[in-house]
Amino acid sequence: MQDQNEYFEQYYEEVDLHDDYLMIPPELALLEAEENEIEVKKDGLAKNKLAAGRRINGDVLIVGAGISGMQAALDTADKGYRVILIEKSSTIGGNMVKLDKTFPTNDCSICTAAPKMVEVSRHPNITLMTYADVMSLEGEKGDFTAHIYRKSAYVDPDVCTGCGDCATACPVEVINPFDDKLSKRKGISIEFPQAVPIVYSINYDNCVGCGSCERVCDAGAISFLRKSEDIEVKIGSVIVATGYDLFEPLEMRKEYGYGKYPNVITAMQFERLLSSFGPTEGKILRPSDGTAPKSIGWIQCVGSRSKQLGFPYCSRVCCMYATKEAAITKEIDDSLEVTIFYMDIRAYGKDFQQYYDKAKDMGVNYIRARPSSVYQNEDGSIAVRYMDTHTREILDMNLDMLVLSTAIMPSKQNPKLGKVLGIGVDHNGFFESGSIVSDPIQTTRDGVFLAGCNQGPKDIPDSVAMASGAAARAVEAIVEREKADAVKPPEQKDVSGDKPKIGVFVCHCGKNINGYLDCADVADTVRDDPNVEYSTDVMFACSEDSQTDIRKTIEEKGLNRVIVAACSPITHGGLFQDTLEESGLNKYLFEFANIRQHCSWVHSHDREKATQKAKDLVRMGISKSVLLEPLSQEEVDVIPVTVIIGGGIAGMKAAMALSDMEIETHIIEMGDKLGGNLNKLHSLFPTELDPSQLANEMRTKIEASDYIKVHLNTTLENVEGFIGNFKAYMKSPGGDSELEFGTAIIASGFGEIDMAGKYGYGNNPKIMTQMELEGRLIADDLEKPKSIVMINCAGAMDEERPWCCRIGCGVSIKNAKLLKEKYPDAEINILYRDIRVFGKEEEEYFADVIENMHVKITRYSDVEKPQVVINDDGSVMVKVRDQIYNDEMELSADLLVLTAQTEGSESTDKLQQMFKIPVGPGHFFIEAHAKIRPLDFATDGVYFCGSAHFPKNLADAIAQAEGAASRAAIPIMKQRLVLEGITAIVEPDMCVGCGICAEACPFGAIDLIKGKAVVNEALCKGCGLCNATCRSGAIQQKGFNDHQILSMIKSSLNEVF
Amino acid sequence: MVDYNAMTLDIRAKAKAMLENKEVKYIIGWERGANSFISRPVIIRDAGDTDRLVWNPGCVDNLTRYLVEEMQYKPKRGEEPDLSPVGIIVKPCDSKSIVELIKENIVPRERVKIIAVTNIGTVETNKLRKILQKIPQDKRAGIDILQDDNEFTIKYEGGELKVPRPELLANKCETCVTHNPVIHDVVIGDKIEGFEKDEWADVAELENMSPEERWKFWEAQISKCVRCYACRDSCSLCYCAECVFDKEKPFTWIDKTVDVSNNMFYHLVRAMHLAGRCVDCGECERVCPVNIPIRKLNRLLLKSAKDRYRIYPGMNPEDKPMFGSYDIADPDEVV
Amino acid sequence: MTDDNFEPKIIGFLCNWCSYTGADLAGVSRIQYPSNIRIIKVMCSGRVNPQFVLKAFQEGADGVLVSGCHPGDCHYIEGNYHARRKLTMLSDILEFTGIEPERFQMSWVSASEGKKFAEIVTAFTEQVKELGPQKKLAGGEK
Repeated sequence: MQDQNEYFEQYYEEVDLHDDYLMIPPELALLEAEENEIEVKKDGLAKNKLAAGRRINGDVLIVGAGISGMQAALDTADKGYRVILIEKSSTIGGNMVKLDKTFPTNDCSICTAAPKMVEVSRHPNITLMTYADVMSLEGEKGDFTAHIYRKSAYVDPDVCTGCGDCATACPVEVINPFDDKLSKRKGISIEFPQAVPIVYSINYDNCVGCGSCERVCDAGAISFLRKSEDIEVKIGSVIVATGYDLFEPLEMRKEYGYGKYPNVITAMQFERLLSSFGPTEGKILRPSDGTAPKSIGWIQCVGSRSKQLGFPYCSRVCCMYATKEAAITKEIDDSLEVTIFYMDIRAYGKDFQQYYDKAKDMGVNYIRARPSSVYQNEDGSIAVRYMDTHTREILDMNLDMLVLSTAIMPSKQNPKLGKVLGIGVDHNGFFESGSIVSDPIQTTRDGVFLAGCNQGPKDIPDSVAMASGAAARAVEAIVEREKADAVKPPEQKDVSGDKPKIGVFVCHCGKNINGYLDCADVADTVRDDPNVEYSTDVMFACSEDSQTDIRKTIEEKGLNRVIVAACSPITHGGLFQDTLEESGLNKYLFEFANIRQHCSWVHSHDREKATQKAKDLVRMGISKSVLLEPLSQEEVDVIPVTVIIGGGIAGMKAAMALSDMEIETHIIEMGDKLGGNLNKLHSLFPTELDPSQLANEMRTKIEASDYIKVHLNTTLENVEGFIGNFKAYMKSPGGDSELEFGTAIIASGFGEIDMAGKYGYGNNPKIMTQMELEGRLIADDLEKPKSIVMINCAGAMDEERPWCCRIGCGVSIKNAKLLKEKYPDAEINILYRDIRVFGKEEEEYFADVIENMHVKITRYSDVEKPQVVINDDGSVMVKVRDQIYNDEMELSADLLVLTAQTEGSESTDKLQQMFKIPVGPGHFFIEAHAKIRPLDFATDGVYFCGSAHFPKNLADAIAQAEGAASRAAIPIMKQRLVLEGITAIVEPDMCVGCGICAEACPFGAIDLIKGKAVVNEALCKGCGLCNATCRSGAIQQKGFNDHQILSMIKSSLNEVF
Repeated sequence: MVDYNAMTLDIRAKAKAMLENKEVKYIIGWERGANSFISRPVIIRDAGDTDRLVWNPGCVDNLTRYLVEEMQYKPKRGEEPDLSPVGIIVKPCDSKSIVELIKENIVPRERVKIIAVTNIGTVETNKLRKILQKIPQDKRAGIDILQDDNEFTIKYEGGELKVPRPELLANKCETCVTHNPVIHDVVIGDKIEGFEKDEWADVAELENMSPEERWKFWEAQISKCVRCYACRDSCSLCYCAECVFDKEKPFTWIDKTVDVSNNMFYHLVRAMHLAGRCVDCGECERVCPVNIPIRKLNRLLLKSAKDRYRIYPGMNPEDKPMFGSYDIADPDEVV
Repeated sequence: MTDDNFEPKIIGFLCNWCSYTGADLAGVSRIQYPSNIRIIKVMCSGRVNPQFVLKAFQEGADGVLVSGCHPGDCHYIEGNYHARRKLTMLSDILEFTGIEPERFQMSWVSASEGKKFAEIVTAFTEQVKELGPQKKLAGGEK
């Protein structure tokens, strides 16, 4: 602790306190501020002290608000604990929001991230602080004290309306880091249009102190007097989700010309070019001259897989993002020549290989080469010199643009932050895990956990899974604490049946609305509507004093409906709904008319038409508002029990995490022993960890737990019910039994496919699969072999089973090493297609085996697979064409090991039916969203982890298991679920039970009971698809019913008053 | 030549057995019309009455509408619902209605015994009326009509009249490709093969017009509509408890004015409600008092569904409803 | 035949999660487009019953735009696929009855495509303007 205090002090001294606009006494400055005449210069400013310390009590501190930090925050806050989420930049969202689309689904990145960002900002249990850094962490698990340094952005976040007038006025242009230096922005800025919070901030380093922004800000949000703060927070545990940096090939790998030739850019810059809110609005243009390139190349592994020129590990994501970028480029313009220079294509994840195959079909040209040098031609195009390792020719290729797939590298801040937090940093600079394979989330300090890429490179779903896992672990430390009080809105007035009395508030948003349309005219016009009781225009509807006015008017005028005509319901709807609730009105009696984003800002040149449109939009709101009804949000109790299907490593780890959160957990296991595949394995790549010992340790812990009950030799026969209220019917030799539970985790695992008939399997004792080899290594009964051949991708990545098995490369290398150690004289040859050892430690392990163990590897092509010949004397011969040396080889094999393709467990189909959950290729379950909901099913209350999703190595399976435990714990820790208010409702007399609504419902929320559709409100998400599908209109979406929409249609077309 | 007589006898025998064995509580079939050759629906409850049943080219009604009424019957207070099966005689086109009704949970399969005939076509009542003008008035009462691959033969007292098929064949039969029942408990008649025709000739005719011509065509047709709703009421698949066009509270979809705007809205919405479901049994068009070619609207959507989504309703009760399902690979013309 | 003073009435049904947000982004980015469109927010494009489109025409709309998340991006997993089927069929029958299908448009606009939204609205408004007032379903009273 002593060290840390010293460091803390030193840190304080080093910190440049950016509060230094004061060269005149504050009183005077304030006075001048009022007169809008502040003129200060930066030079010679006096240093100012931090604002007086604030103290905040919370439960979990989360450092970093990228996708991992956000997920960890939501998972923790949803369990009822108070989260303090700090972010060093001015917005949450992290790197993910910079991406255009995400592989392998080509989902729009911001579309999937933005709702999460809004959810974080509106969560009652999350205190969000941007521009904030952690400076110290003292105490221990369960009782930490941290100091947060919150840098002033000189803008009051509660007052800023995000209008952007300040940026227009700001004379300073700076390089825009959000676009990775491809564009410029103003000294006062938001990171990107969907930033959360949508608050402008001044970057002190760039500000010239001219005060222009302050003068144009109608809301008065800007103050140079705002001070940075030192905030003391009390928490029980900490999650570190600080993300990564991207390798900048300025020094190392400078031979690729980055920073020297303008048309050499990084992959992240290319993402910004693709993005529709990037510097070119989605057009691919060369930075040198703004012309459209005709050819683009990618060089892979820039900064990865090289001890000398970057980092020794594989960055895991580059093969796929380059493939994605190339494929999207082809989609935009098929005539573009697109080339990827690669070493191995590591398409290891779910649907990755298929995505890669599709890119090849689209015409993306893959060349296996690591280019040696890059030159710029006179026309700005780039010449790449490389040796094609398949033909061994040295060639030159001219490209109009070159993209470098740069490595994910540890943040440069890690050593400093590691010291502040007292957690270890590994030799690469990533934070150190408790165990790289069996405890990836734990740091070296108790009570401090890791999520996302600060522990090693990861793609988004793995980061999200790990973040959920970290939330589970962080909650363990504080599970005894009392939860945050659920915010209870005041009693609601019963206004049903009352004549509508609508209040209309038309917001000027300073000049942002009123500058382009006549707000007073809008307010005046609608005042005559018989249903409008009160109508007015206000300067800033969202300001605190306007909120007070609205509340007062509701009270005084007896309003029972409120319409605000202002910016957008997406950003401000929740705020006004809260205001209604505080006034005792149901929040569904609120209606928004979007007259800023959808009107004043987009029709800025025609005041008359913009005013007319604003009137129409308000009228449409009125016509709907008249028909609005208070909606109740039903609550259901949750049975506080989680069931886990499958007692392998993932199931066991999930159970342990749930047990640590003190949740009753039942493991249903078909076999007679917990452990799953761990019981069959000799060792675990990339370590020499003994799986049986790991399994034993876990079994002991599970047996000792008061919260876990294990049902061995038990099969699940049927499941009924829904989230919070499931019932399982189980069968075991001891008899049938039933179990009620609230949530379920599917951890049904995977296995090797049946290899019969492939590569001579089944006909010769010398031929076995890797799994069988593991068994033989445990039994130690192999006959000493002189020559060993392994065939990777056996039965994989072909037409029948197009996916990559994800784990085979690692397993084959590990087993080759074991065999080599055991039989040093034996020749070992691994026949492979790509070596897919991805992520931290794996590449290093592989490189070590190749360098030091004399294991040969031979690359074969997917069109010329190895042939196995079994001679009459029983000897085995493998014929293969070496793709690199183009040699026909004949290898005799005393031992032929097949790295067999894998597929989901046999029980998959049955589980699919029982839980109504989807299954994809290879009998693997399909998640609710490939990127941001990797552990959830679309069906609420059911989660999954481990290889039931897709084959996993141990570390990923464990992170997923802890993540799934976190997800499954949320409904249970909430105890009662508040259901969606906007749900579907059936008029039984009108329903004839045709069932088309039930068929259409994406969530299985509609059942036919006695010939009538019945909506399960616990499952309904309120999309309204059923309503649009029902012919008679017997099922209606509350809040968007036929009558309401029809009224809006009519009022938009007919000038009613 | 189709042996209608033998098929009629077969139907009667099967129906009789079903009633005698109490497999069904009654049988819905056709009997000879009182004053014309066109048959009329009949419900036979007594095995002794089965001789009233007939099968001939005048059996034009799709009887499944009565099946829907049976299934949707609401017992009066205190009345014990009788859920025993009913028998029904169907043509191949009508059998497709049953498939849809099973698919849509309106008819439980176990509640219906299907006596299905094979069929190459029925007569168009309007055409028959005209052709009968050629036969002396006093000899029309007892006519009989037979049919083979090429022509109809109208037999009347003291003579017969040969009519080429197209001159008497029902419009819907001209493009129909379903001559064998798709669902049945009993099949009457030989399996019919051949009879290949251009299924979409009538749709193509309109598609080949210019948009303005098409609008003129429909404007003229739709302006005739008096909104008697016979098309809806005769449709086996218009079984809603309350039709959207009858809805009055708290709002209406359509006002009572009979004009092109309201009529067109009605017909387009009706067609959309039947999209992916309509099996082209032709009842709507047959019953239309002002002869609007209503089927064309349904058939356009039938063709679209087939071309775009490979969906062809009425074939298999296990098929997913078109508007309750989707395929990621559906053609995408969205910008 | 086109009347330069004709200002078409256009109704746009936008899904809450992608297209409405995309329209917001057009606003934040200050991208200008014609003011003829009146936006009705729905939670999902799958909520748009073809009947709404027909009703809008009957009430006098000159054009109707429906916009949702791109295939695969639907917040409700599959609502946009359902919308695509229903509204494609609607488009077919409009064409078949000689009612200009160009008056009805479906689009996929993501939350990041503010520019695309503005472009679509601009092009669609122009297209409808070219067609002139919609009188067929509106009953010719206008």
